[in-house]
Amino acid sequence: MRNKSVISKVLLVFAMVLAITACSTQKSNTSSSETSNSGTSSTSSTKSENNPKVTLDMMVFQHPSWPYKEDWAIYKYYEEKLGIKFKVTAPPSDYDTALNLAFAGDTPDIMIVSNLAQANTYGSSGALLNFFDHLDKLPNYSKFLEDHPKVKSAILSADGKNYYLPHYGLEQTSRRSWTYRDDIFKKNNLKAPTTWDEMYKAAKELKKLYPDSYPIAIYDNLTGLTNIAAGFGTWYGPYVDYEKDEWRYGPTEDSFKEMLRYLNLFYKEGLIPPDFMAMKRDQFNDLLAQDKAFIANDYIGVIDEVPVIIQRTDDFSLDYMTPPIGGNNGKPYNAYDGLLNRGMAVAADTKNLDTVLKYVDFLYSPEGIELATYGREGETYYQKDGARRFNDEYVNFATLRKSTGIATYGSHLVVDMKAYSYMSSDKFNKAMEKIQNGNEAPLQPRLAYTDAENETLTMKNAEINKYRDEQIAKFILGQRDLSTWDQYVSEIQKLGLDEVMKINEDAYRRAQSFLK
Amino acid sequence: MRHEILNKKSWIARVRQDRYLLLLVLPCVLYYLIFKYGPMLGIVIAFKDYNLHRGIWDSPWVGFKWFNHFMNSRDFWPVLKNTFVLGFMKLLFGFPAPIILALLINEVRHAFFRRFVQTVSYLPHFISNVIVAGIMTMFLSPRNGIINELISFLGFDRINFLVEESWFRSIYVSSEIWQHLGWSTIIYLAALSTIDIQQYEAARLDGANRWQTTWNITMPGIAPTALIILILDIGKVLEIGFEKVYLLATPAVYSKADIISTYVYRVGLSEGKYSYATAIDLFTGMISIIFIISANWASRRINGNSLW
Amino acid sequence: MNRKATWFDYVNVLILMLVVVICLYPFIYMIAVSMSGGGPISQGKVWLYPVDFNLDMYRYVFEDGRILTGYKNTLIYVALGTACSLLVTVLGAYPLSKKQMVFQKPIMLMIVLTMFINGGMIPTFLVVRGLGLLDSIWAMVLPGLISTWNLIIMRTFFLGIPKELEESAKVDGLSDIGILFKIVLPISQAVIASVGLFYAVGIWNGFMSPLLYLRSEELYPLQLFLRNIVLSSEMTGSGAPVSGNIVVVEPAMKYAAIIISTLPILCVYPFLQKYFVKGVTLGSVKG
Repeated sequence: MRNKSVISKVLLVFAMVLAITACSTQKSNTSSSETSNSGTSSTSSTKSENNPKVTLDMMVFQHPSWPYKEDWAIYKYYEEKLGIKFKVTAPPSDYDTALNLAFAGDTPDIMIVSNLAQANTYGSSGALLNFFDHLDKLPNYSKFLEDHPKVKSAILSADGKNYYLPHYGLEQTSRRSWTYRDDIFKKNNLKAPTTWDEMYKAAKELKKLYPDSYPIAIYDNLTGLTNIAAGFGTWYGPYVDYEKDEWRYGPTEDSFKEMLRYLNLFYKEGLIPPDFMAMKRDQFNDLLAQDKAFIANDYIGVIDEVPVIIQRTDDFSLDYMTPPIGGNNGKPYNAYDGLLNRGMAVAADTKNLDTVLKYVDFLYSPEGIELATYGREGETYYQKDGARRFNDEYVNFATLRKSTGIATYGSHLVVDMKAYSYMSSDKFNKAMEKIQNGNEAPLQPRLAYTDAENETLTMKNAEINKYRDEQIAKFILGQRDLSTWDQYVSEIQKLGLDEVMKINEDAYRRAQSFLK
Repeated sequence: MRHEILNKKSWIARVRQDRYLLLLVLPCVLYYLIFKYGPMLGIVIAFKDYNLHRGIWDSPWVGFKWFNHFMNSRDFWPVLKNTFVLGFMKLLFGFPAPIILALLINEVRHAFFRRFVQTVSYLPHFISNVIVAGIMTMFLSPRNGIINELISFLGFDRINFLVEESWFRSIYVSSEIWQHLGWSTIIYLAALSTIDIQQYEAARLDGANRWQTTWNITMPGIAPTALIILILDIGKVLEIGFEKVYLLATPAVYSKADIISTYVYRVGLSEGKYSYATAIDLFTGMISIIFIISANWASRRINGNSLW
Repeated sequence: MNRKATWFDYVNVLILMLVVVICLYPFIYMIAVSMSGGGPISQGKVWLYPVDFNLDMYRYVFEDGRILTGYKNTLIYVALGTACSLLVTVLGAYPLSKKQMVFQKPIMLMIVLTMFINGGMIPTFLVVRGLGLLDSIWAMVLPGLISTWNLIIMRTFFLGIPKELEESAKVDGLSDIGILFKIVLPISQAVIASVGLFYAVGIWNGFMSPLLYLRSEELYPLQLFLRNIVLSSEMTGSGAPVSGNIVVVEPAMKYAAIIISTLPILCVYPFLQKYFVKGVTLGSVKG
């Protein structure tokens, strides 16, 4: 008898589990049918505020500095303006995984894709909408592309289609640049270096003055090389030389070797931190905070951010430094990525096609840009002396984004960055001006490859990049002597560099042919 | 004899005889069928060019293409070797460490101190890999890391640990042991608690000293658990998580730090190359099965303990 | 047990003290940093106790009200998940420890194989989706119901129970199920406590299954909110490090997130340690 009661308990538990599972199954079924219902009603909606509202599923990338909130004002404005409601999914982390699963399961109407290649991969398999098929319903987007031919060249697929809507505006702030401690330089009567030779001298001088310092701060494996290479007139990877109209591979060029010679010298003499590869941003900030580094290569935003983070209230000041020229081919350049990687895409099988197109086109319209940038007068901003100022509680751009949803993914495609510049320091704004006027290497094209090309590229690049990075690291650390450079070059070529370069060249020419 | 008799019994009779046991194991079997063997059909994507949108069945077949890609890759042998060596080192030092700690804790007379050591030693298990890697970087820094301060205090040259190939494996393995030592000890402490206390008393009356009781009573008491864990660990030699290796490796140490999981990452899993990743998974899974079957076989031959 | 302390005891205590320091210090360091000001942190002045004591980072994390919902959800998942997992594991491990049971070998083999061959993330996701579990509490319980490692460990402990115990119980007329609940479980407290802890911690720390199987924010467990804070290396460079009137100091913020997300589960183990007391139960049953 007793045994039976135990069995029955066990069975009861499992019956409950099954029952509850079944219930939840039913629930999810009904909810999915609801959404499809709302889908059918949407096709009739045209415009104007009073029409029945359509709900769009949207999957967006969020950032811990501005996590998605349902009550963000910006979406309320869209709802009132366009009659569109959004059911937003914002995966809290591992966005790519979440997006891949969405493609395997229930694709949302609108989604943020991580980069052009991802959009093209899904696009070519038929999952995403080709916007060029719908240009008649996207007048503002068409106009935007006409006005920005460079942007247009960076959003195509290998067969000239367009599955990817670019963001425009925010990329301005993600510039890399050189900065230096102007207060320390002034105090010691030093001038900001303009060439790498001068940089060596200045660093030596500073090392003498501050013996436990590492005057030049770079960090995070070899990521700093991207920007440094631009100053040597080369590139950390394949690039197009616009003057000669040819494709070149930076890491095997003599200018690149010259750069490594400097870095090796700096490493040997303790002018860069010995553990720069293992260092992360925290340690980089600490170096600056402790007056142990005086020249830095990082995002331009550090000019305003670092003094706040390290809470230095004295004379501490970081200012923009014109990129030092390296070697004979050098130019005072920073590297610039151009557009943000992330873009917006639309599911090919969306049931709310017209509404979706209405929304994305609105985001490219002057009216939409205005709304996306500022929000609404009296609610998010006010007029002061003829200029628009955001409410005082939005003390900076990050707080504005976090509180209102303005300039977050999903809520904008174009923003007018001028609106936010008053929130940054004059020093920062001046730096932005300088960097945009003559301190930037020509923008490299963003290429689209065919599936076959992609396959070759992943395999070859995996081998080439690993060998390249390993050897470059060893050259800098002095674990490999630069006299073996030619051997390194021929080794890389053996790994199939020519094939990789040809694919890049083909893709480039192909993209150009689409633009004609 | 008994065995033969059992064999002669018809299956139905045996099922009838074991019906309660079978009923108990049923939920477990159902779980494995639904959540493990159900998805296993998805392994076919290792032989396909899987596209998420087209789905598993509509993606085109490509045969052994991905396996060929992997095996013909220049990185194949180095990656396999690095994975194996790293995994083997982890096994060699990581397997005995918790047993030793458990034995040491077991010898502590003071109950509060014993609990305190137990609790504290399992703390690192809760620190995520990113933070562990960050802490390692900080402690090992040649500028101001505590370990290098100690080295230079003792009059030796500072070591730039994270860019020296020869240090990578030791660093990784010690960080693994540090992170999971206390955690892995838990199960041995549980095993120790099943040893009959009367045995100790009897041994003490016989005049056995501490080493003898440890050797003759404690060790045999935890041996079955240790052996099973050893067999499972041997099966997992090739399974080294991607995250910490990736975080601790600088390009200068790639020749030691490039393992299967980092290779998969480099080739671009984030771009949705699931077919390739599945193929590599399947490949390592097969090797792991050979490992565990051999370990299991050896264990059964030596002392009759086995997984199946 | 009043043996005199020998040199071994002193050495032993010394070694264990060393283990304690090595394992405890990083936590102390993290707590100190999480409560310090950005200035002292970047000056390298914080190493043992907070300097410029403040709780801004904790305030910042909790300002996001979702963290409390996350706590609640995590607690529900841990309680329900551990109970279900433990039950099924015990029920499964016991028959599998009976080597003479019909099908025992093939079932074990089938189970062990899944440790090495698995369908992978997407096919598992499709199965979970097909069962209609997505975005429900059961998605947090069923797909990870059994950990093979835990099952095998539990079975190993059951194997070690003296045969005489069970045989005498059979003579007393208990069935297999009766033996499990009346004899085996009472003397297996230690392994049940351990495996229960393994399950609980696994669910507590898990972020992958909630990430894959949950859509609604109101179902998110704690880890989903905090993981990004810990992982993100782009807190700075993303705009400005100031949010409202709080300066986000990256290391302090990360460590605060770690402390917030681990403190409750850390407290579980000391309470379980009473089940690890040596030999008492088995002796009493035998006696």
